[in-house]
Amino acid sequence: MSRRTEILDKIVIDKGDRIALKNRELIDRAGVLALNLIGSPGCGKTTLLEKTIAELHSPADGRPILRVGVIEGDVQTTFDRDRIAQAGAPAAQIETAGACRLDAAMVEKALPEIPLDDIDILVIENVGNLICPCGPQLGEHLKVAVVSVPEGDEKPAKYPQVFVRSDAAVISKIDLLPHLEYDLDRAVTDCKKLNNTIKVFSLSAKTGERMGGWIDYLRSLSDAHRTG
Amino acid sequence: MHELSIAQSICQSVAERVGDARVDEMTVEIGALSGVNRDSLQFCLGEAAPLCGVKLGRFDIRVVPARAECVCGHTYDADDLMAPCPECGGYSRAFSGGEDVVVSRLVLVEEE
Repeated sequence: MSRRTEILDKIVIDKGDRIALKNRELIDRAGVLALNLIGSPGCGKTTLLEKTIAELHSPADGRPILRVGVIEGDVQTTFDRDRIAQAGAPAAQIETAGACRLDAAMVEKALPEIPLDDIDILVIENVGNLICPCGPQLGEHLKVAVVSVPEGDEKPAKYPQVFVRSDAAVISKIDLLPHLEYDLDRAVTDCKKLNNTIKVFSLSAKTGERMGGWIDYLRSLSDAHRTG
Repeated sequence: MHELSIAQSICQSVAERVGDARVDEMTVEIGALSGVNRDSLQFCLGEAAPLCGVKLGRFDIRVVPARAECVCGHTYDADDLMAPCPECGGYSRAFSGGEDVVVSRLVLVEEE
Protein backbone atom coordinates (compact mmCIF):
# COMPACT_ATOMS: atom_id res chain seq x y z
CA MET A 1 0.00 0.00 0.00
CA SER A 2 1.16 3.53 -0.67
CA ARG A 3 -0.17 6.80 0.60
CA ARG A 4 -0.25 10.04 -1.38
CA THR A 5 0.04 13.32 0.47
CA GLU A 6 -0.16 16.78 -1.02
CA ILE A 7 1.84 19.52 0.69
CA LEU A 8 0.92 23.09 -0.13
CA ASP A 9 2.99 24.86 2.54
CA LYS A 10 5.44 27.01 0.68
CA ILE A 11 9.12 26.22 1.11
CA VAL A 12 10.96 29.47 0.48
CA ILE A 13 14.52 28.90 -0.73
CA ASP A 14 16.17 31.55 1.39
CA LYS A 15 19.36 30.12 2.84
CA GLY A 16 21.28 32.90 1.08
CA ASP A 17 18.90 35.52 2.45
CA ARG A 18 19.43 34.23 5.99
CA ILE A 19 23.20 34.59 5.64
CA ALA A 20 22.65 38.03 4.09
CA LEU A 21 20.66 39.01 7.17
CA LYS A 22 23.58 37.96 9.39
CA ASN A 23 25.96 40.01 7.23
CA ARG A 24 23.61 42.97 7.53
CA GLU A 25 23.50 42.67 11.32
CA LEU A 26 27.29 42.76 11.45
CA ILE A 27 27.39 45.78 9.13
CA ASP A 28 24.64 47.55 11.07
CA ARG A 29 26.32 46.99 14.43
CA ALA A 30 29.26 49.01 13.10
CA GLY A 31 26.89 51.72 11.79
CA VAL A 32 28.20 51.23 8.25
CA LEU A 33 26.23 51.88 5.06
CA ALA A 34 26.67 49.01 2.57
CA LEU A 35 26.26 49.19 -1.21
CA ASN A 36 26.17 46.37 -3.76
CA LEU A 37 27.75 47.68 -6.97
CA ILE A 38 26.59 45.84 -10.10
CA GLY A 39 27.68 46.30 -13.72
CA SER A 40 29.24 44.63 -16.75
CA PRO A 41 32.94 43.77 -16.94
CA GLY A 42 34.81 46.92 -17.93
CA CYS A 43 32.00 49.39 -17.20
CA GLY A 44 34.25 51.29 -14.82
CA LYS A 45 33.16 50.09 -11.38
CA THR A 46 36.66 49.99 -9.92
CA THR A 47 37.69 53.31 -11.47
CA LEU A 48 34.52 54.87 -10.05
CA LEU A 49 35.50 53.50 -6.63
CA GLU A 50 39.08 54.77 -6.87
CA LYS A 51 37.82 58.29 -7.59
CA THR A 52 35.06 58.03 -4.99
CA ILE A 53 37.59 57.00 -2.35
CA ALA A 54 39.83 59.93 -3.30
CA GLU A 55 36.94 62.40 -2.99
CA LEU A 56 35.56 61.01 0.29
CA HIS A 57 38.91 60.45 1.98
CA SER A 58 40.35 63.85 1.04
CA PRO A 59 37.42 66.26 0.63
CA ALA A 60 38.58 69.48 -1.02
CA ASP A 61 35.68 71.49 0.38
CA GLY A 62 36.21 71.08 4.12
CA ARG A 63 33.43 68.54 4.52
CA PRO A 64 34.09 65.66 6.93
CA ILE A 65 36.07 62.67 5.77
CA LEU A 66 34.02 59.56 4.98
CA ARG A 67 35.99 56.36 5.08
CA VAL A 68 35.31 53.66 2.51
CA GLY A 69 36.03 49.92 2.61
CA VAL A 70 35.64 47.62 -0.38
CA ILE A 71 34.98 43.94 -0.95
CA GLU A 72 35.96 43.11 -4.52
CA GLY A 73 34.38 40.25 -6.42
CA ASP A 74 36.05 38.80 -9.49
CA VAL A 75 36.26 35.42 -11.14
CA GLN A 76 40.00 35.48 -10.57
CA THR A 77 42.98 37.71 -9.64
CA THR A 78 43.45 40.26 -6.87
CA PHE A 79 44.04 43.14 -9.31
CA ASP A 80 41.07 45.14 -8.08
CA ARG A 81 41.82 44.69 -4.39
CA ASP A 82 45.32 45.97 -5.09
CA ARG A 83 43.93 49.01 -6.94
CA ILE A 84 41.61 49.84 -4.04
CA ALA A 85 44.40 49.38 -1.48
CA GLN A 86 46.55 51.67 -3.61
CA ALA A 87 43.73 54.23 -3.46
CA GLY A 88 44.01 54.09 0.32
CA ALA A 89 40.98 52.03 1.41
CA PRO A 90 40.85 48.70 3.22
CA ALA A 91 39.98 46.02 0.68
CA ALA A 92 39.26 42.30 0.53
CA GLN A 93 39.14 40.16 -2.58
CA ILE A 94 36.71 37.36 -3.30
CA GLU A 95 37.77 35.13 -6.19
CA THR A 96 34.68 33.21 -7.24
CA ALA A 97 36.57 30.62 -9.33
CA GLY A 98 34.02 30.72 -12.12
CA ALA A 99 30.85 31.75 -10.32
CA CYS A 100 29.03 34.52 -12.17
CA ARG A 101 28.05 36.54 -9.08
CA LEU A 102 28.73 36.97 -5.39
CA ASP A 103 26.50 35.33 -2.83
CA ALA A 104 25.98 36.08 0.86
CA ALA A 105 28.18 33.19 2.01
CA MET A 106 31.16 34.53 0.05
CA VAL A 107 30.66 37.98 1.56
CA GLU A 108 30.33 36.44 5.04
CA LYS A 109 33.81 34.93 4.62
CA ALA A 110 35.34 38.21 3.37
CA LEU A 111 33.76 40.52 5.97
CA PRO A 112 36.30 39.78 8.77
CA GLU A 113 39.03 41.21 6.51
CA ILE A 114 37.33 44.63 6.54
CA PRO A 115 37.75 46.82 9.66
CA LEU A 116 34.06 47.75 9.86
CA ASP A 117 34.55 49.95 12.92
CA ASP A 118 36.97 52.13 10.97
CA ILE A 119 34.78 52.80 7.92
CA ASP A 120 31.55 54.64 7.10
CA ILE A 121 30.67 53.09 3.74
CA LEU A 122 31.25 49.50 2.59
CA VAL A 123 31.07 48.90 -1.15
CA ILE A 124 30.71 45.33 -2.33
CA GLU A 125 31.79 45.37 -5.96
CA ASN A 126 30.07 42.41 -7.57
CA VAL A 127 31.48 40.21 -10.32
CA GLY A 128 31.27 42.01 -13.68
CA ASN A 129 27.87 40.90 -14.94
CA LEU A 130 24.63 42.80 -15.57
CA ILE A 131 22.26 39.85 -15.08
CA CYS A 132 23.15 37.28 -12.43
CA PRO A 133 24.14 39.55 -9.50
CA CYS A 134 20.69 41.14 -9.28
CA GLY A 135 19.28 38.03 -7.55
CA PRO A 136 21.09 37.36 -4.28
CA GLN A 137 21.00 39.69 -1.30
CA LEU A 138 24.46 40.06 0.19
CA GLY A 139 23.60 42.11 3.27
CA GLU A 140 23.65 45.46 1.51
CA HIS A 141 21.32 48.38 2.17
CA LEU A 142 21.27 49.57 -1.43
CA LYS A 143 22.06 48.34 -4.90
CA VAL A 144 23.79 50.59 -7.42
CA ALA A 145 23.91 49.70 -11.12
CA VAL A 146 26.80 50.95 -13.24
CA VAL A 147 26.48 51.08 -17.01
CA SER A 148 28.98 52.80 -19.30
CA VAL A 149 28.51 54.88 -22.44
CA PRO A 150 30.43 52.47 -24.75
CA GLU A 151 27.98 49.68 -23.86
CA GLY A 152 25.21 51.52 -25.71
CA ASP A 153 22.13 53.49 -24.66
CA GLU A 154 19.78 50.52 -24.96
CA LYS A 155 21.30 48.61 -22.03
CA PRO A 156 18.69 49.59 -19.40
CA ALA A 157 15.89 48.39 -21.70
CA LYS A 158 17.72 45.18 -22.61
CA TYR A 159 18.79 44.28 -19.07
CA PRO A 160 15.84 45.57 -17.04
CA GLN A 161 16.02 43.53 -13.83
CA VAL A 162 19.07 45.20 -12.36
CA PHE A 163 17.59 48.67 -12.92
CA VAL A 164 14.24 47.67 -11.40
CA ARG A 165 16.03 46.45 -8.30
CA SER A 166 18.64 49.21 -7.91
CA ASP A 167 18.33 52.36 -5.85
CA ALA A 168 20.71 54.29 -8.08
CA ALA A 169 22.28 53.96 -11.50
CA VAL A 170 25.58 55.45 -12.62
CA ILE A 171 26.08 56.06 -16.34
CA SER A 172 29.85 56.14 -16.53
CA LYS A 173 32.44 57.30 -19.09
CA ILE A 174 30.48 60.34 -20.32
CA ASP A 175 33.83 61.76 -21.49
CA LEU A 176 33.37 59.37 -24.47
CA LEU A 177 30.01 60.90 -25.51
CA PRO A 178 31.56 63.06 -28.28
CA HIS A 179 33.05 59.95 -29.89
CA LEU A 180 30.05 57.62 -29.79
CA GLU A 181 26.43 57.61 -30.85
CA TYR A 182 24.83 57.49 -27.45
CA ASP A 183 21.49 59.02 -26.53
CA LEU A 184 21.98 59.92 -22.88
CA ASP A 185 18.37 61.11 -22.52
CA ARG A 186 17.13 57.75 -23.75
CA ALA A 187 19.27 55.83 -21.27
CA VAL A 188 18.14 58.03 -18.37
CA THR A 189 14.47 57.89 -19.44
CA ASP A 190 14.60 54.10 -19.76
CA CYS A 191 16.08 53.79 -16.26
CA LYS A 192 13.18 55.89 -14.95
CA LYS A 193 10.61 53.89 -16.92
CA LEU A 194 11.88 50.77 -15.19
CA ASN A 195 12.11 52.36 -11.76
CA ASN A 196 10.50 55.71 -11.12
CA THR A 197 12.40 56.26 -7.86
CA ILE A 198 15.87 55.40 -9.18
CA LYS A 199 18.52 58.14 -8.91
CA VAL A 200 20.56 58.39 -12.10
CA PHE A 201 24.03 59.94 -12.21
CA SER A 202 25.89 60.40 -15.47
CA LEU A 203 29.55 61.13 -14.90
CA SER A 204 33.12 60.53 -15.87
CA ALA A 205 35.31 59.14 -13.12
CA LYS A 206 38.31 59.61 -15.41
CA THR A 207 37.92 63.37 -15.91
CA GLY A 208 35.93 64.03 -12.73
CA GLU A 209 33.09 65.59 -14.74
CA ARG A 210 29.79 65.56 -12.77
CA MET A 211 31.27 63.44 -9.99
CA GLY A 212 29.82 65.96 -7.52
CA GLY A 213 26.24 64.72 -7.68
CA TRP A 214 27.32 61.14 -6.99
CA ILE A 215 29.53 62.17 -4.07
CA ASP A 216 26.72 64.33 -2.60
CA TYR A 217 24.36 61.38 -2.93
CA LEU A 218 26.74 59.07 -1.03
CA ARG A 219 27.24 61.72 1.65
CA SER A 220 23.49 62.24 2.12
CA LEU A 221 22.91 58.45 2.27
CA SER A 222 25.66 58.04 4.83
CA ASP A 223 24.34 60.95 6.95
CA ALA A 224 20.79 59.60 6.82
CA HIS A 225 22.07 56.13 7.71
CA ARG A 226 24.04 57.35 10.72
CA THR A 227 21.22 59.45 12.14
CA GLY A 228 18.92 56.53 11.33
CA MET B 1 25.08 29.35 -14.76
CA HIS B 2 24.13 29.84 -11.10
CA GLU B 3 21.07 27.60 -11.46
CA LEU B 4 22.85 24.45 -10.31
CA SER B 5 23.47 25.88 -6.84
CA ILE B 6 19.84 27.01 -6.69
CA ALA B 7 18.69 23.55 -7.76
CA GLN B 8 20.88 22.12 -5.01
CA SER B 9 19.33 24.45 -2.40
CA ILE B 10 15.85 23.48 -3.58
CA CYS B 11 16.62 19.74 -3.38
CA GLN B 12 18.29 20.06 0.03
CA SER B 13 15.26 21.96 1.39
CA VAL B 14 12.90 19.36 -0.08
CA ALA B 15 14.98 16.51 1.38
CA GLU B 16 14.78 18.12 4.83
CA ARG B 17 11.03 18.49 4.47
CA VAL B 18 10.08 15.07 3.09
CA GLY B 19 12.69 12.65 4.44
CA ASP B 20 12.56 9.33 2.61
CA ALA B 21 9.22 9.87 0.88
CA ARG B 22 9.17 9.78 -2.90
CA VAL B 23 8.29 13.13 -4.48
CA ASP B 24 5.80 12.25 -7.19
CA GLU B 25 5.12 15.83 -8.25
CA MET B 26 6.71 19.17 -7.42
CA THR B 27 5.94 22.75 -8.41
CA VAL B 28 8.65 25.39 -8.16
CA GLU B 29 7.90 29.08 -8.61
CA ILE B 30 10.67 31.44 -9.71
CA GLY B 31 10.26 35.20 -9.67
CA ALA B 32 10.76 37.01 -12.96
CA LEU B 33 13.28 39.33 -11.23
CA SER B 34 15.13 36.51 -9.43
CA GLY B 35 17.72 36.14 -12.18
CA VAL B 36 16.94 32.43 -12.44
CA ASN B 37 16.56 30.95 -15.91
CA ARG B 38 13.68 28.49 -16.21
CA ASP B 39 15.17 26.13 -18.79
CA SER B 40 18.50 26.00 -17.02
CA LEU B 41 16.83 25.30 -13.67
CA GLN B 42 14.75 22.57 -15.36
CA PHE B 43 17.93 20.77 -16.39
CA CYS B 44 19.74 21.39 -13.10
CA LEU B 45 16.87 20.11 -10.92
CA GLY B 46 16.94 16.80 -12.76
CA GLU B 47 20.67 16.52 -12.10
CA ALA B 48 20.63 17.77 -8.49
CA ALA B 49 17.74 15.67 -7.15
CA PRO B 50 19.50 12.27 -7.08
CA LEU B 51 22.70 13.88 -5.76
CA CYS B 52 20.71 15.28 -2.82
CA GLY B 53 18.92 11.97 -2.23
CA VAL B 54 15.56 13.20 -3.50
CA LYS B 55 13.47 10.69 -5.44
CA LEU B 56 11.92 13.18 -7.80
CA GLY B 57 9.18 12.40 -10.31
CA ARG B 58 7.48 15.06 -12.40
CA PHE B 59 8.18 18.68 -11.69
CA ASP B 60 6.93 21.91 -13.06
CA ILE B 61 8.59 25.34 -12.95
CA ARG B 62 6.43 28.46 -13.12
CA VAL B 63 7.69 31.99 -13.62
CA VAL B 64 5.92 34.46 -11.32
CA PRO B 65 5.88 37.99 -12.73
CA ALA B 66 6.55 41.07 -10.63
CA ARG B 67 3.45 43.05 -9.63
CA ALA B 68 3.19 46.64 -10.74
CA GLU B 69 1.32 49.22 -8.70
CA CYS B 70 0.63 52.43 -10.58
CA VAL B 71 -0.10 55.84 -9.04
CA CYS B 72 -3.39 55.76 -10.99
CA GLY B 73 -4.47 52.94 -8.68
CA HIS B 74 -4.19 50.11 -11.20
CA THR B 75 -2.24 47.01 -10.16
CA TYR B 76 -1.26 44.34 -12.65
CA ASP B 77 1.23 41.59 -13.50
CA ALA B 78 4.24 43.27 -15.10
CA ASP B 79 5.17 40.86 -17.88
CA ASP B 80 7.02 43.62 -19.76
CA LEU B 81 8.97 45.86 -17.38
CA MET B 82 9.43 48.58 -20.00
CA ALA B 83 5.73 48.80 -20.87
CA PRO B 84 3.65 51.64 -19.42
CA CYS B 85 0.64 51.09 -17.18
CA PRO B 86 -2.09 49.60 -19.42
CA GLU B 87 -4.72 51.71 -17.64
CA CYS B 88 -3.27 55.25 -17.70
CA GLY B 89 -0.28 54.89 -20.07
CA GLY B 90 2.08 56.37 -17.47
CA TYR B 91 5.33 55.06 -16.08
CA SER B 92 4.76 56.04 -12.44
CA ARG B 93 4.41 52.50 -11.23
CA ALA B 94 6.43 50.58 -8.68
CA PHE B 95 7.33 46.94 -9.08
CA SER B 96 7.30 44.50 -6.22
CA GLY B 97 7.70 40.75 -5.77
CA GLY B 98 8.98 38.45 -8.46
CA GLU B 99 12.20 37.94 -6.51
CA ASP B 100 11.69 34.65 -4.73
CA VAL B 101 12.31 31.00 -5.43
CA VAL B 102 9.62 28.91 -3.75
CA VAL B 103 8.56 25.27 -3.74
CA SER B 104 4.79 25.75 -3.75
CA ARG B 105 3.48 22.19 -4.09
CA LEU B 106 4.73 18.68 -3.35
CA VAL B 107 2.92 15.39 -3.82
CA LEU B 108 4.56 12.66 -1.74
CA VAL B 109 4.18 8.92 -2.02
CA GLU B 110 4.98 6.89 1.07
CA GLU B 111 5.03 3.10 1.12
CA GLU B 112 3.13 1.66 4.08
